[in-house]
Amino acid sequence: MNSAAIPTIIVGGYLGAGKTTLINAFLRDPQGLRALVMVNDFGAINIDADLIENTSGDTIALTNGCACCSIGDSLLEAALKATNAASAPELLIVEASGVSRPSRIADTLMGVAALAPANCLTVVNGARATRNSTDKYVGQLFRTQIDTAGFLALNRFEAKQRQAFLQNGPPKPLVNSISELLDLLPRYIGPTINHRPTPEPEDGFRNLTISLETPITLAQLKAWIGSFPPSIERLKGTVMIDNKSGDAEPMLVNYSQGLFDVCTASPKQAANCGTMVMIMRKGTKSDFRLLMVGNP
Amino acid sequence: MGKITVFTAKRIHTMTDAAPYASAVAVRDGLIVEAGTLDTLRPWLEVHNHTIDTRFADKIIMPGFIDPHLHPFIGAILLPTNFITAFEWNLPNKHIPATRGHDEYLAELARQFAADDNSKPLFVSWGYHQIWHGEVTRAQLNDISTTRPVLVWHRSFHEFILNDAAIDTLGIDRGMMARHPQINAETGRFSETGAMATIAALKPILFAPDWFGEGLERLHEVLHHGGLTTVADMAWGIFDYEMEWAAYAGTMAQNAPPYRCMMIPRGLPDPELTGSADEAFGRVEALANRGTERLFFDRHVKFFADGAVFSELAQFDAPGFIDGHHGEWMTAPEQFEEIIRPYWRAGYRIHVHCSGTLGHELALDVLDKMQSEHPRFDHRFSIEHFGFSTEEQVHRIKALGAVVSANPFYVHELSDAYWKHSVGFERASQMVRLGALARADVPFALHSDYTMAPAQPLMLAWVAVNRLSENGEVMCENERISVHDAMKAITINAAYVLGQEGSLGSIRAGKKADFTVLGEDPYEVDPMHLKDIRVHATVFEGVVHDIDR
Repeated sequence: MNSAAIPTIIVGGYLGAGKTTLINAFLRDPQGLRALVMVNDFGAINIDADLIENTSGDTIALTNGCACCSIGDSLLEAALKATNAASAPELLIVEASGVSRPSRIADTLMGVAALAPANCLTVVNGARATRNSTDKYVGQLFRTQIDTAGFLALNRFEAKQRQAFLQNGPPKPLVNSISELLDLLPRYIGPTINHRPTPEPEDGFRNLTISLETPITLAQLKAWIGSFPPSIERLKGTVMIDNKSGDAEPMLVNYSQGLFDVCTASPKQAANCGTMVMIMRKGTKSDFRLLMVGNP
Repeated sequence: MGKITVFTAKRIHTMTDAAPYASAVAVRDGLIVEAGTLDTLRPWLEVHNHTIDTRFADKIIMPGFIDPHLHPFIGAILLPTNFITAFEWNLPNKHIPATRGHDEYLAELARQFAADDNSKPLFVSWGYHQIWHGEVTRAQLNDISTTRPVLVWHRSFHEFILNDAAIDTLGIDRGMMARHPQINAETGRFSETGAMATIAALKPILFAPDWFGEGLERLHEVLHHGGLTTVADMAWGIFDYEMEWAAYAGTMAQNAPPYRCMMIPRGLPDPELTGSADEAFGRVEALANRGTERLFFDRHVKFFADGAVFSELAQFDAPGFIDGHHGEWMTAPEQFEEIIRPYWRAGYRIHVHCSGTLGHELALDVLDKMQSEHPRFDHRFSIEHFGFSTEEQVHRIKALGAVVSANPFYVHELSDAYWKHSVGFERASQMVRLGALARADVPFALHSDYTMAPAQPLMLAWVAVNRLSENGEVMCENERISVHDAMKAITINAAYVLGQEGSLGSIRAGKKADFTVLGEDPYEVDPMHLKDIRVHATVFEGVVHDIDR
């Protein structure tokens, strides 16, 4: 991946989940980012009139530097066009259609060279969760949208229901807004993942070398590791971790089958700081995709 | 008023129940005057100028064949490609023999490449399938050419294999290829979401007038050779309403091919329902307020329930696919209901693409709901494709007054592979259960969904009557149908599904003088020979159009 890759967030979830509300909230306060938002339903993005700079064709430019455009018939073509534009956005947010699997959209967007691997945020409407999850037509899809998400936003959950979801639902980082998700992404780091195009190993495992040259916070590291699918067996290496006093120090990260710890790196380990090796089971590509969720 | 022409034939199958056979048919001004014998026609012939045309005296005349579901624009894109297929295809003046085996495939690819006139920016071959042709790779395509772009398009449309020249010509980013989960940069294989990257780059070439225009002209020939005089574009606007209209209306006016096409718009004009269903309905209704002699509308509309049979994205209830993957909804089920409602209330006839058992269930549940909200008679809600259904669903189809337009070719091309690799024997062998429809007396038509199957109604009839898998095994003998039911399904019942039975589909006084002229009688030949009956000519609105071979 080139270091200038545009961070990408897919906002998914079944119809009525609250995707548009979440996106609208972000557009009112985009954290100083020039974000491009691609939506299905142009009309539903309810932008304050005084925020609109101009409207041309299927794009609305906002005074805060963001823009909003409709996806039309081909997401891939719309994304290619947007990223080839004279001023490419600093962040791409894609609203997934209600019946799409966000992971499939993430795969589709891998066809756009300028984009970083997408982070999937699935919005869940608590008021409809029971009905949706047991629906004979969409129950399976609804559960898949949650299971394959990198992040979840729980919307209209009652306290008890939320508690039950946290206890029994899949262990995913929760966010309340797109801004919160951005805080969990080490997006300012500009890391690179080098997927070694070596032949598939005989023993059923493959390695990825991950370069992470600028510091990240412990929270970011945790969020990323929390998104690992079970097929990631190990992660080991030294990275710069921001500590509370604003300094960064080299720490050894050691993850193995669900457990991980972080400790001060030895001088020898610190010499290789910024490089981690990940070992994942050979197999489905979807696991590889999930690996990207969290985006170091 | 024009002169009467009387065509005589060895036998005329009128496809009416009242008088199924005739030996002469009189036509005037593009319409049928009367079918019968030269003797019974005498009152007309005694008082009107006429000629007796005996050129079909040793032939069989049927009503002009009707294919009630195909996609002219997919055909137009595909026809300029070089076909190399595991099953035989008959193209105008060109028989494509079956090519099976890895070495055989590469040899045929090299042969067609050498014979190519290089008029196109890429050499594109369609029809590859790994089950039959093994793994074909970028390196093997580089062996064919390192300089001319070679692109192999999978039978399912969902995959591509490219040589390096094609990757460069299409400007595909190699870094992106290396990272993409559904592109194998080493083998040059682009699948599913990876294939979309290829399509995006290919579109400007495929939609250029020299590609597309040539494709439409070839399509006219394909339909004529199949014996078709009426077809339906069962999703006008599948790419772009106005672009398709301009191209199709243009070629129909310029080339005046001997067929007419009923235009059935897709009823949800956006990928998702945006805004109100009434607004979307109004927009489509305004778009469809047009038409020409050969391209006509009749308040029919098309919707999509679940994903395609060929791409294994049909929606099933338990036990689903053997490998545990799930199908897809092409329209969110609640939006499907919402968008159908205004069309139902406005009296439209609704066609729904259904592939798997759950897709059928959704369509029938929504029909049930519409019937209880706003009952209609003779609504002809049509289940399109009819891939995997249950016997119970056939009874619901009957009870709710629905009809079926089926693609029987799945049985021939897919049932063996789906038995062994996809859904198991029981469901694979019972795909497209036409026998159950016949037993329940549900009207049904056969379609090609061209290019999902050859646009040859006699080939479709052959599959429906014999139900042979690609290996020659009979797949569920109880779901076979009679020759008569198959012939009705490509004539009068196909007209019925399209709501055009008042003017098309049988040979009787007052209907359009559309005939398909055959060398042998489908009712007399061994049913195994049905697909090999020669289509000798068609008559379109009274005018003979010979088919040269």
